[in-house]
Amino acid sequence: MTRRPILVVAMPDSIHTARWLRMLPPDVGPLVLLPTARRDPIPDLGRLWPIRDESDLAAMPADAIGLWSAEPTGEEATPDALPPPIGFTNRRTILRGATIARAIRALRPTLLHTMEIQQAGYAALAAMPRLGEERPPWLVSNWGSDIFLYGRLAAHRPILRAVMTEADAVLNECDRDAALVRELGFRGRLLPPQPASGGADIAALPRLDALLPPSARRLILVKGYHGWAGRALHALSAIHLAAPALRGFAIRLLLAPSAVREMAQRLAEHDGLDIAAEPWMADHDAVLRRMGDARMMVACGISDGIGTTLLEAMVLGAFPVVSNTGAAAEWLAPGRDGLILPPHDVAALAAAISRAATDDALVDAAASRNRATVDRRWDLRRNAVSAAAGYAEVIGAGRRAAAA
Amino acid sequence: MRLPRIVVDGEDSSRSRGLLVVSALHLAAEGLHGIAIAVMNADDPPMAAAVEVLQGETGLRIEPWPASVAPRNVLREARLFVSVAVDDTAHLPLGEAAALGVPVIAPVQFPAPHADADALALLRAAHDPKALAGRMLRALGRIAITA
Repeated sequence: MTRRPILVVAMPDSIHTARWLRMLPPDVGPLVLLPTARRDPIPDLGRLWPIRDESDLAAMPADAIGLWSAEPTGEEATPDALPPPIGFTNRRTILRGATIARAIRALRPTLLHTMEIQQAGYAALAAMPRLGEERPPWLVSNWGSDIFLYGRLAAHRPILRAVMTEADAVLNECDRDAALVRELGFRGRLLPPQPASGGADIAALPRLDALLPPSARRLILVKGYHGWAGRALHALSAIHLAAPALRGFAIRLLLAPSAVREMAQRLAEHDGLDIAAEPWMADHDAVLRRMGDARMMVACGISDGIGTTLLEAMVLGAFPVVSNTGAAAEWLAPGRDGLILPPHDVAALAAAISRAATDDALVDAAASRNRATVDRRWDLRRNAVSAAAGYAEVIGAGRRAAAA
Repeated sequence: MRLPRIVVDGEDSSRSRGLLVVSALHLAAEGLHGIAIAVMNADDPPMAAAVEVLQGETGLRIEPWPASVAPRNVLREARLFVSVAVDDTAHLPLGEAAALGVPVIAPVQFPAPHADADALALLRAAHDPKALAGRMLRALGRIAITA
């Protein structure tokens, strides 16, 4: 008899989705990914198996992840009447609640796990009224800004309340959000926080003693997001103010949109800095090698969880200079292992960047402590055990509730 | 009684830095209570979210205005107009502000080499929201934060 699957609703092109699903041990049961949008799945997901019904599931090889592939029909064509995430004009390209309900009826999963709230979680909320006794327990993963930022927006707050009222369990990225989900009315199981990506294979990453000490590195990486949460243009204004301390460094921007790239060009011409945008890299190993060449990593924004870029910086010795609107302070000692600043105070950010560029003792001393912290808390094997235990706990509670 | 009001430019683009102005409002918030703040060009979703967060965090009275409303209609009776421009101020409603007698603070991040002394004096405020906040508060006769 085919084991009933765990249905995971998530972005198919996200490295977090891939890392999480590939982290889970096989004994959690077969996994089926229901994509939040029709986008190409990220290659890191590995072998995928099309799933339309239980017979596809029965034929799925043990090393594959199922990918919900049934063509939408009927009410699945109609977008849910819910607010889109910032940056989307509507929900036309986002998965419908009717599709989640259909997949649940077809596959009878033991658990519904939505990863990220404004796309996956809202769609699952729209699925709930369509489900009766076949409704599985619902675990909501809250990524970075899903509640910390969206919970302050009038159009989203009532929807988040409804999600939190329906959810059986919540998995936050950081301790900060525990109080926020309770404020929104959540009364279910709060699983121990974990980064959205679950964990990384730390043992496979270069050891610090195989890399140049941070003080000998001449590369500065800057997160290039700018818009709904990122404030990369603030970071570039800080670099402009700190320019005298930054000559001789290569400054590279990650994932920068056109306005940020244009600003970098102006700084190169105006301040004589070696600053440019980096192309997107499909090969994540190359991304990590680049981080291992960096003296510091700068990120400025009004909202985040525990960003993967921050964890990668910590593990590879790049000194973090980040905003206080994420969860960095839950992972490092501010002022000692990283510099954490309000996103609006560009002058303070400039002073922090200058300090990290010139204080060799500071950046060298932080590296080994940050590595040890991430070794302990972001390790794939340890976090896989914790994730599997969380799944078992939520599934078990659901069974007990159904039997009662 | 109507509150005194200031107008800020919320456009965040390759020619204006509206999110930097919002940061200045965060830093100036203590000195801005009792003043209504009209944000022009506030309908771009990232700016709309930033304005909502500003209001929630500071309790300031914010009036978001969409780009479709003529600047003259927003600027009328304002005590101050604030914007941060990237290269020049040609796209800003400075003529309307002058016609309505509204004082202007409009620093430029990368002014032309022949820029006048006023533009050069505002260079720091074009990149530093705390310096911009100080300028705003001084222009309003409020106690300035220390830059």
